[in-house]
Amino acid sequence: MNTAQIISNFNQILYLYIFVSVFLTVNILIVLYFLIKDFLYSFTSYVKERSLKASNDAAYNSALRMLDEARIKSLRTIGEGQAKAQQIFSEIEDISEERKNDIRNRLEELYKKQEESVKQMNIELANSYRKALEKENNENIQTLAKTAEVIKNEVMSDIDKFKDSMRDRTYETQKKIEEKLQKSYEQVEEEIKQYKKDKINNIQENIFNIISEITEKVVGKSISLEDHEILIIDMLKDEIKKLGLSYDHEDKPKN
Amino acid sequence: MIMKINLKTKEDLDSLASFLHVIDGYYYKKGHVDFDSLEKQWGTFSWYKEVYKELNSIINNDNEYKLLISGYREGFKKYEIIKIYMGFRPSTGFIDRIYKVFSDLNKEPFVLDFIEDLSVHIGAKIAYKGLFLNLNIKKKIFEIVKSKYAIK
Repeated sequence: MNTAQIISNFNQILYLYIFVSVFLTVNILIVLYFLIKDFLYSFTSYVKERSLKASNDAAYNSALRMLDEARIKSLRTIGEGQAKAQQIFSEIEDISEERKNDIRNRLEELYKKQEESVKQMNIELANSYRKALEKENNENIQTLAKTAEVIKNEVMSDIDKFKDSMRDRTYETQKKIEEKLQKSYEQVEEEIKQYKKDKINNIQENIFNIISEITEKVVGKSISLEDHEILIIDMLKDEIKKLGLSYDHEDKPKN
Repeated sequence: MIMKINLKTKEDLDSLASFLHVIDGYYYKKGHVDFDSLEKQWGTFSWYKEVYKELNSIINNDNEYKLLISGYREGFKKYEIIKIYMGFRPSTGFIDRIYKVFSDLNKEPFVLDFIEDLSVHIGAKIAYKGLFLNLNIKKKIFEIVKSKYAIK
């Protein structure tokens, strides 16, 4: 084996080594990327779950606290009622001591039963609330959507009612306005009509006056004395007739 | 009776009143009435013949004369005067016709008092029993034109 062959073999081995190293590095990097991604996803989910659980727990605790407060209030009310009853009973002298004790015992028993019943009710309510919360986690979005839809429908229905009402009112108002306008229009029309009539009458009177005046002048120049006298007699007869004075129109001589 | 005497105008009435005054002058100052000379002055009036006839029949009876004259004078007061304003002097025929128109309306005695009024061009204005009749040709023409041509 000569020197040149040795160098050639060495180079081949070196290239192979580099290739294998790069291939392995790339593979390792890919595996690392998926591992990190998976880890991050799991971590985020875990944090979210924790947060939701904490929130649910807080709500659960809050509900329990409220129920507890309700229970305390209820018990206090019952206690106050019992105390009041005992006070009333002690004030009544007619009842015997034995009878009073009997009533007190019965009230005590009733109080205990009531307390037991409230406790039981609290437990049941707590369980129901827990179940409801768990269920709500899954159906939360759906319920919210449904609720939103219901609210939307109700609001829309109200809006529609409001719109209908407004439309009715608007229609009534519009109708009233139209009626008023119609009346005003008719009134104006009547006034215009009357105005036109008056104007025409005025114009006519003026024209007739002019005609009469001209005719009078023309007639005055051309009429004979005899015709003038006949005219006066005729006009007098007409005037008497108009005034309704009794008059015999025949030119008969009076007896 | 004065009512039987033909009195149509206020001029007739006034002339008769003057005539009676003159008669009185004759009767009481001269003791007789000279009808011939009176006729010359008053004979044209429409009432003259009637009055002459009545007077002449009782002229010699003092009591009847006084009664007749006072009857005339009292009668004058009963006459209603119808005033007629015109732009011209009326003819006798016109007076007769106007008189006839009013005599158909009136039972009481009346006379027509024609007053010349140049402001009345054509037609007449008559004051009768509180009424004022404006017989205006212009008014008449106006009524005719209006009834024919007015836009209704």
